[in-house]
Amino acid sequence: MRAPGMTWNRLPLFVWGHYATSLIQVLGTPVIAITLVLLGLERLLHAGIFDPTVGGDPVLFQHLFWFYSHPAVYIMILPGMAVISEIVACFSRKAIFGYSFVAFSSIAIAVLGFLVWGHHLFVAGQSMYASMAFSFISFLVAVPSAIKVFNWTATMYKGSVSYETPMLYAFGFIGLFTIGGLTGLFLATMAIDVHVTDTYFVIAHFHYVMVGGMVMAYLGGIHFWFPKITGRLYPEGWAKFAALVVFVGFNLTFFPQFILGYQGMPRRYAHYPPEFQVLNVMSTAGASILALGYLIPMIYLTWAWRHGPSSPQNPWNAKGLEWEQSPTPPPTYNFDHQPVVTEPAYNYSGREQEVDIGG
Amino acid sequence: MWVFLVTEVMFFGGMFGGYTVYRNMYPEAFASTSHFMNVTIGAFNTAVLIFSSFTMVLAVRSAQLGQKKALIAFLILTLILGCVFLSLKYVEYHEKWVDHHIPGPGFHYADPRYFHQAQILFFLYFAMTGMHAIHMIIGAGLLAALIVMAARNRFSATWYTPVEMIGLYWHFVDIVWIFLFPLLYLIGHTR
Repeated sequence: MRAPGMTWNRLPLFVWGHYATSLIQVLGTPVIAITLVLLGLERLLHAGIFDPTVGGDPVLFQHLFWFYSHPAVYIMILPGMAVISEIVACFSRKAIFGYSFVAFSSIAIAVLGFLVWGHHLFVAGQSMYASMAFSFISFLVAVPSAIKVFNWTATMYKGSVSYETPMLYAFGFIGLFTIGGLTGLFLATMAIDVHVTDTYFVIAHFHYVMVGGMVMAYLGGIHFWFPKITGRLYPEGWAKFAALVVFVGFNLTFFPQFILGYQGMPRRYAHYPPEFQVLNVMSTAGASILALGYLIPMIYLTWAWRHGPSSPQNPWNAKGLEWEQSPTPPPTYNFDHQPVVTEPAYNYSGREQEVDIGG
Repeated sequence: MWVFLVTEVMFFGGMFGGYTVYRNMYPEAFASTSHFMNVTIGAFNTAVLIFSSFTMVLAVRSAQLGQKKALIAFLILTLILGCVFLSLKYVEYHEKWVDHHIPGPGFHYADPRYFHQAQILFFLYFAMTGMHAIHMIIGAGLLAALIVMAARNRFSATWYTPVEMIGLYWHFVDIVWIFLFPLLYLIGHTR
């Protein structure tokens, strides 16, 4: 089933990212499944297992819950990072810097991601020593993500960078994911977490990663592969405008939330003291703008699917089997002939030999 | 199938994790509950399951050798042994029902010191053996399907993959029981 000439080291980083994701999914999902089964039985039988009034341990529930739910966020972000690798390489006309490092970083995130769940239990009554260990490993798990950010940046260095919509979203990702990731380190620091836990700071952190990161990557990917999937082109002008609206709307929505959280506004409160009002209103205004930013692509992508101009075979001149060896749009089985792999991934420079570490 | 079995390990692992935590928290209570476990039935069931894994292996071997009659015979034997296990499980559950050891509003425990903790143990008992029994019922269904397929000449010495896969599944269900038995039945039985 493997295409002739394909090796692990010739796989697009998109595939490496999804492979790492699947490892996490296989190992993590059953744990949340059994946790929900136990919780359901508790409700059904009116018998306690996590219920403290009958000798149960609610912290056990938290451990079981977060053992899956932390790796779950890596399930959410790894595919986004995978997309960014593809986009950055194409729109820098350059192979990803440090391919092996990026590939192994995906695996490292998957492995380390299973060892940090206790950072959700810093104030839950967990032992100080366990918390220290989880804090330390949480710092470690930031390293492979940082490696990816540095490598994407290094890819752009001395590349031939163009600013089509997918690349605009990739830029958004790199900047906003970095902020989200760094604020994650704040939260992994026990002393800071005690102050900002369960506040809007946490909300701002994960939205920077999830929306500023993943959603941007998703929109970038949608635009990048839209011509491939549909055989049509979306309107680039509108797309660039929408990307800008999304960026502005997103930051206006979520940046104030860092401040709100730091100032002490708790999560999940419908009513808040008046001193928090200005930032809350700012955030709401940003949300409306962000909504507009989502609406515009929904409209033009739907329009373009039916009425857009036909796309050439490879509008981005990208490397990759889907662009070079499959028709646009693809037939039912994606390829009309057996694809053959003859070169390393992202071979924009046209070299024939595999390139070693450092790109 | 191996990947699926890894997910099953993680699935049962959550319950074993919970068991570990509570046994650590309530050692005496847990030890006291094991006196209400029917060790005779449990031990006999253990032997039944281990033997059924043996017959399953013989079934796989028969498939490898293309021996259709032997394959069907061993699959039927495995299925019967599985049903023996499930019947004895039913007997045990019935005992628990009579003793008011089923968690919920009707729960009652002889030693009032350990009421809540014992209920937690029995909760885990039913959750773990119940989940195990569900997997056995599914396994029994799969064995029945294999028997039908074998009777219809679907397998040969060159292709018998479903037999092998369900063999792996059956062994996994057996191994889970081998962990369940000592942890649930034998805690207080150190003399």
